[in-house]
Amino acid sequence: MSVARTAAGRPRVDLVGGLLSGRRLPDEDGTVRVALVATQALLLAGDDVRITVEVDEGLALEVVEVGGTVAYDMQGGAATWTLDVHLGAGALLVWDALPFVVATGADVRRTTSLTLDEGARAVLRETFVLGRTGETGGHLTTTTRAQLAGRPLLVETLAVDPAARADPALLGGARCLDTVTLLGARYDADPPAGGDVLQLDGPGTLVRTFGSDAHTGDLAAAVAHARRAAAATARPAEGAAARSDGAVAAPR
Amino acid sequence: MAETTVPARAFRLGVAGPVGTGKTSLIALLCRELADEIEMGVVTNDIYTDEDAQILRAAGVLEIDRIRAVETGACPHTAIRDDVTPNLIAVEDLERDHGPLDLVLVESGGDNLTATFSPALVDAQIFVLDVAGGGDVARKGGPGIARADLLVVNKTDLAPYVDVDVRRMLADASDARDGGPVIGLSRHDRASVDALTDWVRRMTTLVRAGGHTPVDPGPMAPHSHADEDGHVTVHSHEPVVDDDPEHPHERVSGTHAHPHERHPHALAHERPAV
Amino acid sequence: MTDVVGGRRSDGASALLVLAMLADARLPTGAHAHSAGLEPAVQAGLLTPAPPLTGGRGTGHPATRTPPATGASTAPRGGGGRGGEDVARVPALAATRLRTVTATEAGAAVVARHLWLDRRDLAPVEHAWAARTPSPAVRDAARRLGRGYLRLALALWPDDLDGAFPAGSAPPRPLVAGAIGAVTGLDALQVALLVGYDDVQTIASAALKLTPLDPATTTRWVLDLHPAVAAMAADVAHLTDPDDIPSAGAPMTDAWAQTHARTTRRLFHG
Repeated sequence: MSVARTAAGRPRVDLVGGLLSGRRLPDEDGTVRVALVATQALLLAGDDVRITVEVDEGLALEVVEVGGTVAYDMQGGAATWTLDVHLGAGALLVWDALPFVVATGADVRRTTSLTLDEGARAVLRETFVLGRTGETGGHLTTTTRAQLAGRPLLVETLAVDPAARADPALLGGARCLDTVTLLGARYDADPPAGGDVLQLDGPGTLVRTFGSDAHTGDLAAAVAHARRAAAATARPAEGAAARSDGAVAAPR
Repeated sequence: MAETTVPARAFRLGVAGPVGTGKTSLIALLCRELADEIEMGVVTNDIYTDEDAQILRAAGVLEIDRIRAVETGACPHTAIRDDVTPNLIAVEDLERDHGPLDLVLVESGGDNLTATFSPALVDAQIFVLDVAGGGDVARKGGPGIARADLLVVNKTDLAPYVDVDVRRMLADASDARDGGPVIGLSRHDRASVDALTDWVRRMTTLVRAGGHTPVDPGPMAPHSHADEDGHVTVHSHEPVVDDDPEHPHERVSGTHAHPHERHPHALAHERPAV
Repeated sequence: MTDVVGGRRSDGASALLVLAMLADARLPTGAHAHSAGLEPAVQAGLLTPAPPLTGGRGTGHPATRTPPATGASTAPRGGGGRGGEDVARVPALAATRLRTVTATEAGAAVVARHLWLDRRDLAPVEHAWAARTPSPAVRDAARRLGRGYLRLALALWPDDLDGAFPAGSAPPRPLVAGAIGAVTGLDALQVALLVGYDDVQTIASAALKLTPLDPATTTRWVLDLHPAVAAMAADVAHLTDPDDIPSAGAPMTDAWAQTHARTTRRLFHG
């Protein structure tokens, strides 16, 4: 999906679907909103989901998920999920994803690549749940690679599977890993109960909790706060250069 | 005569000695007495990082940020002698944040009689014993007792309660140090407090003028240039002989070379005859 | 075998001696004040097995979980520890660290070595390493170690390291290790082995201070981890591009490090 500015200055959204398709929702506060809907049962053996998101300079896009994702028993097969994001200067992406469940027998390779131009910001929520109720769970490897203004900002590969769950130093027995990733701005609120706020070396923050189930309570507040922090770091007047260190600038 | 070059950094003074001998209160006392006169900082090496530092901060004798606690990985000897990196980093950060400083005190984690400071970390060191440890300790000696620049026998006011003959203990200590400086200290004995602070003041001036050679009180022959008075300070008797800080060498008997640059491994002076 | 390295000819024996010297625990770099994440883990209850988090039990942060009373555990003594302590978790922790934090550091060290052989700017390696280390506490520990390491390195090889790092800086330890490797004739595999071995030894010796153990037991752990160290090193030895540095994360390790960094009652810095 891409969000570009037309000659008239209004955002135009192009959506190309496949396993997933996008539906335009009404804008909110100048933010283009797109709902992501699965057109078929996902995620099954052999599936190769690819999502490309491009947001032009200064525009804002929110991706809204209608349902969570379950990676089903693939009975020896595997699936991939690839998200490529490019945000132009000063652009904003918010993606408060719903839980991603890794059922027993699932084998998923998930990759998220984010390229942010100067002044761009992103707020991403990811909740991984190992196994449906009563299940031990399958295997997921998820890699996030984010760069800001040409410099690596966050590169992290995580395994979500029974071995990682059992390892005290990885998931420490938790069945659910919930993360809010803020890129291009800093999160300055207190950590959520039982969670941590990890300030990245560059302008960005991970807010992360471990849990026994995919309750969405704790990090919903973190998402809201991250969105405010991202908005506050928006480029000031049009034509002014965006600060690449993500410092809070005067809001528009 | 000493050159009046301004040294790039503070006089670093180590404070070592067994647990419970009063190192932390001695440091608190020095801060209380001297912080208004000279710019000071303190680095503590407590076992669990923070306790001594907290005590000092709570005592309000020095701005809180001038008191830094360093982890030593349960190796208090190593941290002051074999690998002084964490302490050096703390001292450097102190100077960066509050410099220029005149004096930085480094308190070792309480330990036994073999702990001594490396000359890479400190220019001079005080070894602290207390009367409650027993009179025998002074006789026992050991590198800390024998070769520190100053030995303090602390809490002399408690001597009657622990059945220790202070004068005897001080004499034993002096013998173990071939007459090197010893102070019998009690908070309640103003003269002894003055003796201590005078020694620190003089050392600070001397070291910052480039006149003192830090020596590892290890296998090399003992050195003590700093003992200008060269007298044992006994609890209630012989007065402390004051010295002219401008000309410390005049009291040394015999003729000696007096280099005024620091040579960490050269022996600058011999101990004066008692 | 002789190689020309950065203009200096070196042979296999001298490289091995340098490796031995750098791996020696007595090397004065301040590393004795670090535990490679062991103390954070122990403070969070690593050695006191608690029942695993299950559905419905609530989601108390594992890093602050209160371990159950010692008598309740039936874990075997396993060569040391107080009653109920599961000391086998220590080498398991080291194995996990080798695959995560250490692999990233070893990869960064190898790439740093590669760049410094040609005296190229090391900043891209630092950025890549930092992007792969989201926990500020873990980054801080690596930089503090790096600062101490750099101080010694500059005293030993001042000319060869001139310009590698800004004056007075605190680069992360792997960058310093890589640069040292470049100027002392260590090959990439040796640099990676050094980083891996150092972390494992740090954990083993820190363990002796954190719980009663027979030093022969901890040495046994180190020996048994040699293959894992070698495998990790082999995986990264060929790297030359910062983008290829491993990025395996360890979320609970990060959480432990953050909690530990806020504690004042600790033996180790990290």
